[in-house]
Amino acid sequence: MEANDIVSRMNNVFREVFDNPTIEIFDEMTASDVVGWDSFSHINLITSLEIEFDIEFTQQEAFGFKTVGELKSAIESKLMH
Amino acid sequence: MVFSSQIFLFIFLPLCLLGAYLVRPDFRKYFLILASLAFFTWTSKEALVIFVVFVLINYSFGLLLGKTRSKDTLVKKISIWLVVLTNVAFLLAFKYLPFMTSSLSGVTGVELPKIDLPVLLGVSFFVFSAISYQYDIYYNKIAPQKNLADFVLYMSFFPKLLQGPITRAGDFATQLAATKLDLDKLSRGVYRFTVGLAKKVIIADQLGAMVDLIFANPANANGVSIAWLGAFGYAMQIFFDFSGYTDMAIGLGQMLGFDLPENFNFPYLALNISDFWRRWHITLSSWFRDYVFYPLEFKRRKQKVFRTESNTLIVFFLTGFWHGAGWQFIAWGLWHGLFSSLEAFLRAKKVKAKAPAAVRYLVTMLIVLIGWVLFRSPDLGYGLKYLGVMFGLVKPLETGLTLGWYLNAKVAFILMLAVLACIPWKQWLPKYFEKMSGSRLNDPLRLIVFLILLGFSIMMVMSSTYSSFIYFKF
Repeated sequence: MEANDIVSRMNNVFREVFDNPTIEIFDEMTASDVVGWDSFSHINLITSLEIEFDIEFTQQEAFGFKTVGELKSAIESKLMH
Repeated sequence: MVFSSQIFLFIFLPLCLLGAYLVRPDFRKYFLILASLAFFTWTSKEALVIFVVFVLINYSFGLLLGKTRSKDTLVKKISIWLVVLTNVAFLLAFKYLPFMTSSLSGVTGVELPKIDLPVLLGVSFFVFSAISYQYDIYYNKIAPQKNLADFVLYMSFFPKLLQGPITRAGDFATQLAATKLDLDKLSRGVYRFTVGLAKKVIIADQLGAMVDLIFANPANANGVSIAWLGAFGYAMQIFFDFSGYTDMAIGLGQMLGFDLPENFNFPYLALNISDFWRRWHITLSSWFRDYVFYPLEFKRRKQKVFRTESNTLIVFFLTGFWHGAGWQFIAWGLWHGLFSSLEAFLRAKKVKAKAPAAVRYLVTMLIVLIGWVLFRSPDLGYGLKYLGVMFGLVKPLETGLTLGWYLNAKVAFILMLAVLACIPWKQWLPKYFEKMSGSRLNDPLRLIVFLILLGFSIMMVMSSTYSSFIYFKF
């Protein structure tokens, strides 16, 4: 899977979870950049990404992400294995 | 040592401030560690030894968790489980052992031997600080604290040691690195401390004397109006006792160059129970939210039905149990949990409250008040009977005692003062408070308020006998 493809699929998930069709994700993006990205919606986001990419995160990974870039790298490495 | 005691106010605090301001800045943290350990030793020397061992064990645990970062998931998982379970076992042993053995004896009918461990004041608070520290390392939010002195000060810093606010290690470390003593902060701290002292000795202690009399009677020996007065009086007492303590803690922190987190945000203005818990004991509810609720939500993320509702109930059960080894605390927690999880259910269904704000407010306060009766009662049976009297379900005994016996002019005045102090005047009438926004003592009006509060409080402290804080026993 191409890196661009991953980003665009992630972007769609973000738009859906945060109910905002204008979101454009970037690597340095953090929770404070997105309206409504709190701990509660974070779990929805992680679950939706798991379904989208058919992967599973550990609890430590899920609560340890600080930026969208970290999230993207974790998805990429899971898709490679 | 209690913040509102003469020994603290007239000996410990002046010496501590003098020392903190006079020692070389690079020695200050060692001085604060010594002061904090001396403060803790006041409870008992035995307790100090156990506390120090506890802190050292957690220091090593932190380093261990840091080392497992490069290891595989299973190793990390086993390590965090070991670390957290050790802390929980410590808490259970020092706080819940008598409750557990007597409950177990009751169920099995076997008489279990009694083990007497020393009382550790503040154990629930410092164990929770330790657990949050370890989880934050596990979740990669912070690096393990390698500097032993910094870790010991995080765990033992006396303003927050016995009754919170529960502080996160990351926030504390940032402040410790940047700590600076200045007159502005000192004056704000002195003011905040005095407000807290006044809340405690002028309002909470005075109401407490009345509440204690009412709750010392058998549950059905109070008439309906006296029972309501007791419930209302306790609701005010516990708020001013605990928020007064927190103001003192935050004020002490400021005097010593630290900003401890806020714990209250006008809880008696809440319009629903979830709102109440965003305003009451904020550092405890956010602790449960971050370290229990969200991990549970994550663990059960594939379950769609009754997930958030049941997780809310679990969290409130634990919140109740955290407050004490007794069924009345568990019932109090579940009572709040019931409404909180109902609200979570309605939120998920996107049902909006249609009742006017005044109705929602009164219903919320009634739920809170019923909760406080359970919380104050010596046991669950007493609490239920007391509530029975309040709501006309249990006929009270004829004792001849009237409301006037408890509600004299002084108590009525203090209750009125308490109600007025529950209102956020600064937010509601900002233009009258604009001039005072500096929150410093060089403002004449603030200085007058400060001197009045201080004068009355000192009078109360000098004339009263020893009175502890409610949350000391938790």
